[in-house]
Amino acid sequence: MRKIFIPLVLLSVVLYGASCKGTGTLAGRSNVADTPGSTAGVEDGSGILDMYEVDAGGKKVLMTEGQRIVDPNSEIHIGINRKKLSALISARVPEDSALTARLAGFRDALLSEQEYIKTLGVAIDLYNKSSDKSDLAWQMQMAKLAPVVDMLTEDKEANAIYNTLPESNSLTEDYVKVFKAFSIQVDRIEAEMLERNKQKGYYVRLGAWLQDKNNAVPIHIDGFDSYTPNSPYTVEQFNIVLSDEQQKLLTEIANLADKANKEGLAEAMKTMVSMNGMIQAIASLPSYQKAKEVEQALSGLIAVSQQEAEAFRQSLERIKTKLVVYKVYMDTRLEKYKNQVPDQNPGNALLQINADVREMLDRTNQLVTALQSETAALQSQILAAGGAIQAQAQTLVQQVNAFAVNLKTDIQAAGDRVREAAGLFSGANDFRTNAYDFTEKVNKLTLDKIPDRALINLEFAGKRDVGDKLVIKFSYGNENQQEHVLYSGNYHLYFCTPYVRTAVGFLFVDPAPLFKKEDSKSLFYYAPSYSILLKGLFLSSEKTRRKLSYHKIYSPGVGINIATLDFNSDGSMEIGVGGVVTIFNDFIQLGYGVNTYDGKGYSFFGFKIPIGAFSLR
Amino acid sequence: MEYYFKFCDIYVQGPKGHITHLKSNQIMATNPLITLDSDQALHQFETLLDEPGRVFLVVLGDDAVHQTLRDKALAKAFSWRYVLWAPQPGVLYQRLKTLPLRPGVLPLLDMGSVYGVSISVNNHICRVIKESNKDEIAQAFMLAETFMQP
Repeated sequence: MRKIFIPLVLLSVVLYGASCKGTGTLAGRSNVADTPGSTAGVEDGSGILDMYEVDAGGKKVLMTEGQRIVDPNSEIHIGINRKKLSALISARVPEDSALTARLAGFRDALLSEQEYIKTLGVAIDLYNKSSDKSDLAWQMQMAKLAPVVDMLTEDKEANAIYNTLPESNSLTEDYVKVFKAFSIQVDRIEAEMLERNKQKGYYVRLGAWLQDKNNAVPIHIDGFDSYTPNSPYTVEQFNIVLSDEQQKLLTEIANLADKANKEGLAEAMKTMVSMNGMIQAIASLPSYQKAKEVEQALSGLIAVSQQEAEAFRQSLERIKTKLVVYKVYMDTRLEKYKNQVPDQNPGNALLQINADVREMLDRTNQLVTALQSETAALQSQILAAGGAIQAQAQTLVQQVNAFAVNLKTDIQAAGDRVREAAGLFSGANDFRTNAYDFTEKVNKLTLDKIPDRALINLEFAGKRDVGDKLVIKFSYGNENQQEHVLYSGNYHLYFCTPYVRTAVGFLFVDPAPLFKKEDSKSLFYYAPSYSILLKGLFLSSEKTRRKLSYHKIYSPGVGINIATLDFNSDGSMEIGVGGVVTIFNDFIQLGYGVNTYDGKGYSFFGFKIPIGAFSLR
Repeated sequence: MEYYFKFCDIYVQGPKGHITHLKSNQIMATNPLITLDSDQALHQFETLLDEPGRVFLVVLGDDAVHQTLRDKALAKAFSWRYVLWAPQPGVLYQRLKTLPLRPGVLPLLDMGSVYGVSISVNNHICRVIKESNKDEIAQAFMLAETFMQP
């Protein structure tokens, strides 16, 4: 048994490590990929966005560079500085380069204002304390102020502003006035840039998505999109009930434990490796099942339109052909997985799955584009086709369009699920490349229409759980220019104060006396179990927002473990209750318990074995 | 950044809330006016140029505009800043034209249109004042006191 145990532990650690890599990455999009979300995410760090989080307890937390976690029930407040945004846009427009350079100069000076004023203080001190006036140490300090004085005297507008300010009455005030003039000048230049960019039709878009295991769902942001907010949903902070998924996993673990107790563990593990989830997911897609229906409708219409306009009939034929070719391809692909023997090399299998999913998505997108194009052409031919089949043709067009839209959505989602499952093992990075694209429901807001603040209320983001992700994207563009992503933040949803979660596990149980094997029995009994765990205990609320690895990899927990045992092998269930500590997101569980049936103690260790990982969840 | 005064001290509050205290002895009384007598003006001027650690604003003339300029400059003559007033400036013109210029300062040609000049500790002319605007004075002083001979 120990021979099996050691490879199992190694396999488990490897699988877990891979799962951590796989779930923490986003699509080949460098500026989205798990970068810490914060104002530092804005490309030049110019503070266009200021963000803070208000958690469920009303605590306000300024979102700074390095924050990677937000509370799953919190509100994210985003302030947008239009002038700075406009300045950044101008910085990328060649004709505004002179204005941009001036602005940058004034801003730099203002950033160092405090240092400059301190330097002046030092110079005055040195001068006053020096008995030898030929000692020009003070002057060396004053020379450090030369750049700002030069800037003032060389910029006519800044100079004019300086002259309008109230007369100064001290040496210090002379310089304070310089910075006041600069500050006013910065406001003026930013206002000028804002006006210019408004004229050029620049707009911005702000969007947010909730990313769970399967899908990226847009979140409504008032004033920025026309999505409908979801019904309020609160993630339970103290949850002691097993989820449906956990219950399913517990059943699978129970079956595995039963089989392992009877046949040995190695045999049981073989049954875990299955890829039929892909077939189930795709073949059962409602939209895919509609393909046959659409094909039949097309055939029917073609049959009755033999005498109608030739162009119309040919369009129908083309649609049908494209649909049939696509269906043949998909059926072949599904058949391949139905008959496939699990590959002994998981890496090869994953590569193949990924390649197939990519091709499947490409083919689907091609079909959808072709269908939409054909139906658009068909619209104009319907009239020419004559009155007899007009109504039928209109219905068909609608049917084909609806089919195309649903198919694309469904296949995309199925592909994501397949890749999610595959990504658990491969750590592949190129998933969900299109998941965070703005739809037409996200408003293009010209610079004068941007609200000062945006609110992302996660309570209205829909059903979610810890471990899901919040993605925020902010971009700008105009009709003549490609849209640029200015900021993208990727935040993981975890409670930042202690919380309770349940975990299931496959236990290796060693009854007392420990490490003493009974005759004709293996050292370990195998048992399904579940634990109620207190988590989030070991880091402060501030640190816990920054340490993603704490939540995603370590996530330690302490709590109670309940296991179903059968020490006497009589087939009737015995309940064991014990204390447990978990680490690596409950993947490794250790504890000691008591069999409530006979009072016998036992130690145990267990794993959250990803039995369903090869199937689609 | 905000500035506020408490008694005679100046406190400077930075953007992050940090407060810098400029001591009261840094707020000094102004230096007295130095008048360059007409017959001794050039000699006096030379002597003053040799004085170490002084920044000068030289007012060249005795008209109402010059007097206004002189008074306003005097109100800003803190620490190393000194105001020299030459009611009869003609004798100084030639000497002034020989002084080196801070980069960006145009050579002195028509002295009649010049109300005053600022001179750095290294005796460079740093600003030529052709208007009596009050803040020309501040800028003239600032240009001179921040200039170090290359």
